[in-house]
Amino acid sequence: MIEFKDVYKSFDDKHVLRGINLTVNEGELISILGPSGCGKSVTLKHIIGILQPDRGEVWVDGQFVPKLSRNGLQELRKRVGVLFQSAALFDSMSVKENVAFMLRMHTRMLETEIDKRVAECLAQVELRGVEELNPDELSGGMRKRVGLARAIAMKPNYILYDEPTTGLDPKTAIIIGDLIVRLQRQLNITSIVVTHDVKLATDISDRIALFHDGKVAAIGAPAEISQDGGQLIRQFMEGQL
Amino acid sequence: MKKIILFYGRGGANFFVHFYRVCAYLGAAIGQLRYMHFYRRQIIEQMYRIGIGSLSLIAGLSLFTGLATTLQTAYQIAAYVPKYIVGSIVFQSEMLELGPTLMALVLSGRVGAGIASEIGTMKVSEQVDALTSMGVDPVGYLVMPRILAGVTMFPIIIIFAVVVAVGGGHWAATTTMGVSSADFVRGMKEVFRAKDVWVGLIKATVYGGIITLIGSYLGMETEQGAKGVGMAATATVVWSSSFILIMDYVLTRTLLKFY
Ligand SMILES: Nc1ncnc2c1ncn2[C@@H]1O[C@H](COP(=O)(O)OP(=O)(O)OP(=O)(O)O)[C@@H](O)[C@H]1O
Ligand SMILES: [Mg+2]
Repeated sequence: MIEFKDVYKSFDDKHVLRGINLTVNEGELISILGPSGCGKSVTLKHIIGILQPDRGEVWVDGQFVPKLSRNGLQELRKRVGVLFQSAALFDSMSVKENVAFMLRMHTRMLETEIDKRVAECLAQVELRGVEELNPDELSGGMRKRVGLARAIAMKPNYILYDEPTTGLDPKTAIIIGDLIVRLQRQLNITSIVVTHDVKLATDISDRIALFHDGKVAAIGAPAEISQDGGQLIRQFMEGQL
Repeated sequence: MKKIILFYGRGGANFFVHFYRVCAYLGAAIGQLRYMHFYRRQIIEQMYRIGIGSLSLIAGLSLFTGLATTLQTAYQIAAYVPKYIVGSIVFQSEMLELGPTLMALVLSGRVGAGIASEIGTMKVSEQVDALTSMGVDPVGYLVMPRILAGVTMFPIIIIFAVVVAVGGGHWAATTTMGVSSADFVRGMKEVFRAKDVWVGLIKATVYGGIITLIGSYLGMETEQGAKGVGMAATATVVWSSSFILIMDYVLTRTLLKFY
């Protein structure tokens, strides 16, 4: 379970988060919608302790993230996979080495076990035979999928997706959306999906949270939120937020 | 006038901010030495790239400095001094000054700018954040191995450079100046002091640290995409060459005085 309790965060004099309250339950798939620059990525970075809140509390699995030790943070980060907006593949390494990265750094798995696990992860995202390619030989959609394979390599309990479909064509976007749902269902992974894509959020989420003004302006199941937050959602879609 | 003072004032303040942060990176990198075993693959890779990767360039260039130094020495001492002195001057100036300092200036481009653009590219494309998110410390994974490789491999590179340069000098002296091989070696032996070797190696170590530290720092601080990466690489060459020349004076002064 991930909990934000009244979290504030500013950069210099720019108040980005102003009292975020959010609870993400075990096995849930929650989407975060909100205008550009409203602090969605900043929120994700609090979960893995890359950023510290100025005020308020961030809890993951009952652990108080801002006070975790170096080892505690490392253990936490092994349980949380992150898919970056740009996929952030290491471009000096092959696809295989990218997916194997955490296995090599954090486990004592043998080479044959690593090979097997890499192939499994790539199969999960429906890629085969790309192990030896370099990231610059992949299309945008393939890069995202490799990024996803890398995120699940350590069998995380959580995956944070930062704009998984931005910049992809509609067909690839649907494939990625399906993947997110499948990973959540099959592997029971708790997922947070940051996105601008209202349709994607409505299709895949258990709940949607709408960020506005550094707060959670509306939250609920896709059907509910279009009633409660209907006005806000409409404004968001029409670019008025 | 006021504008000029403000400009330099702000420049000066910025300089100290950067200086402080560079020191903080150095401290963090030293702290990461505890986890050397964890990052051993990166350390070996960087040692190989910085050390072996620079050898052919350094061999070629130091050969020419050896040749040029010999010819110039011969010209300067002219007729008044016995010719075997060439060997001593070539050796000392290569070991104390040209080997470490000139080669470090060359390597600030090859090694320093390379590090800045490599880490800078990783920074602007979220790869550094990705490292952190996967439970790997970027300073431990990227910065510490490079600095460690710099301070350990530079002295080795410089010894190699001096050997090649003196070899070149020997060749030039015996073939074009009529100095016999035995005389050249005698000149070298007459002035040889272990201290000179140490001073040259200490310089090389310091320069190796400066280049890799500045390159890593500016790489890690890169912003604004590809333009920022280019700026980081350029700034690395400018700043590390400046510090190399300043430290050259400081080290020459302190090390040669104390014995
Ligand atoms: N490390 C940082 N230092 C300073 N300012 C930051 C930092 N990270 C984020 N910000 C600022 O915080 C604000 C929110 O950033 P964030 O990346 O969370 O936005 P976002 O909601 O993810 O937007 P987008 O949809 O465009 O990705 C931005 O104005 C950004 O400039
Ligand atoms: Mg973002």
